[in-house]
Amino acid sequence: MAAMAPISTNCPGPQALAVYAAMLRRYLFVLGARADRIDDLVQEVFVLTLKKGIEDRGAPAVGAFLRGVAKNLLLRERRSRTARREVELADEVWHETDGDGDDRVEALRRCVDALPERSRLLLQQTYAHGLGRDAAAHAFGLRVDGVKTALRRLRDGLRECVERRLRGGA
Amino acid sequence: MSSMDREVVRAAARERRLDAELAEVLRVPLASPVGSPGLGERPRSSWLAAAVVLLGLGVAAGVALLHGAGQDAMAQDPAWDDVVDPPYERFEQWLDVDGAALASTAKDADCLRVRLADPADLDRLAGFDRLRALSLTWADGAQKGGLLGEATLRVLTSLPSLDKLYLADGLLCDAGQLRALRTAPRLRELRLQGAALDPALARALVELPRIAHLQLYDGTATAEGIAVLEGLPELTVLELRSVDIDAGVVLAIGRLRTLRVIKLYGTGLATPWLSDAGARAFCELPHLTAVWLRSVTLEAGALAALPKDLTWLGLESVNGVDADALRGVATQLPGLKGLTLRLSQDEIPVAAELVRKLPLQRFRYSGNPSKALWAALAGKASLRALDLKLFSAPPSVLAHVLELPAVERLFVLGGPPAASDLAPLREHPRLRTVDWMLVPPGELPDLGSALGPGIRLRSVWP
Repeated sequence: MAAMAPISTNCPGPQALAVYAAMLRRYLFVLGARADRIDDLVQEVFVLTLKKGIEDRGAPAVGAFLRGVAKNLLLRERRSRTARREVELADEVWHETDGDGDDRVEALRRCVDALPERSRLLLQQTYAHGLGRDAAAHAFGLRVDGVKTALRRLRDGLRECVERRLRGGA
Repeated sequence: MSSMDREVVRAAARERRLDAELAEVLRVPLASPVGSPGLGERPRSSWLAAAVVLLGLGVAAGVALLHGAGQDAMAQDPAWDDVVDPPYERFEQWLDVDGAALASTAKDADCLRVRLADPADLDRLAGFDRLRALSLTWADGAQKGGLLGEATLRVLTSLPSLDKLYLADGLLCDAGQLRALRTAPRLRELRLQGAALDPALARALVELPRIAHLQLYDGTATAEGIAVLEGLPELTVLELRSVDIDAGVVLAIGRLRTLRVIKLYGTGLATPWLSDAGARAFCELPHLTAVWLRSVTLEAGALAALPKDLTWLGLESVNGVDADALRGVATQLPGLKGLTLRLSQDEIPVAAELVRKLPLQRFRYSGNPSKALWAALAGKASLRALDLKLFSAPPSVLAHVLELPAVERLFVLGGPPAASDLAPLREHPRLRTVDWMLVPPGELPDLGSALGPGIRLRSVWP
């Protein structure tokens, strides 16, 4: 897991920014931000933070502060009460696990590494290379519905794997 | 917004969280992927959405029931194929105490190794509500074995968090006493030492249906006893160490269909434990992922007959196979991600060949690696964990580790290092954990400082 260095107004190192940016992208996506808006929002978060300054109270506090700014920016774009409520509910989901979520990503990385070859290939072909269901069905010798089912089960398996790893149990 | 609406929104957010994490792990841009509900895909009516979710859950449950959870390789829990941090090899940070000193031990301990002079000392465990792992050994000069009193059994079985219990030699090896453990609420892993695993003892074990990991040390086992273990519905890991068994026992193990990991450590006798038929029997185990063999005699074709999709194979001081048979592992088991080797002198060149050919993520080796082996390891971009059981640990070993760029976990058994030897590892780009066995506790802080804050140092002191 990459350790987060505290951001400072004077010298936000590129490595620290990259780690915080990755966390913010995940967070904003969970809150429901459109994928094509996320990079702009992350940039705005950093610009606002650097303008305003932030007290260096350690990586967890900095992360929490940045998420607060990000959430406020997103809420500003949501006019209806229902849409704003959805953001708050998604924020609650983020807080179901502690902190910046890096432990979850690391756990997921291990779970993906441990997948059987065929499953990992299916995941990479569909997620990373954008292979559609028809093409995936042809490539993996499955029915089109079978691809959807396989991906669904794959996601369920990964979700359970992550939860168990976070619990630290067998 | 109704409570059902809120649940639908939360469920969608959890899906997006997994999408975002997957995108980061797979290094792809964020987008709504195939098979996961995106925000824009939610039905207009929240009631309709809730109905769809409930219907989906029902269908999924039905499909899972019809297909059986483990029959589709794609649905298998991937953690069991993880060789870097497998669920069956958890590193425990034991706190060592004498039984008589339990009364003054902090009650919030979660991992205790207790030296017993008198089994009745275990009465003092009452109130250790966070105790998760308990290992019992005999103190020097203590009279080994014996029965536990009812009060002691009550204390032992009332520990609410206990999921791992390692019993001292001869303790609870009696079927009647062992049966008392059935009331332990969370017990999943059990080590029996000096027990005779016959049908009577196995029947007592089957009354502990949560047992998932069973270890038998220094005892005996019969095929009939092993066969009874079919009654343990969650038995996943079976370890027989220094246990006198025969080929019939191996065949019986091949019928325990829930097993994922088999560890057979022999007594050093030249008994042909693993016959070709025994290895073929393992092919009938649908979930089997790891087979570790030590001091075991193999029939000539046994290696070739092992299941082709094993993830981790351990071969330590095995008899009955020559260097050519070992070489054959690379073609017969091409998916191995973990490999453990302890080789005789004339077999040592095989290690480098296997490392080069297999997609290894973890390599465990007994002995100081040769130059050829280090060269093979240095060329292995997939290698994430290295375990060395060394006869000595010269600084040059650590210099070689610096040449393994993907290694994130290092395990070393072989005498404590000097802090100055460890310091260069700070520069390693991926290394996060060093498990160095047998470091005196007093030396750990200095060694930890030498490694710096980015690398965790752990040790076990006997």
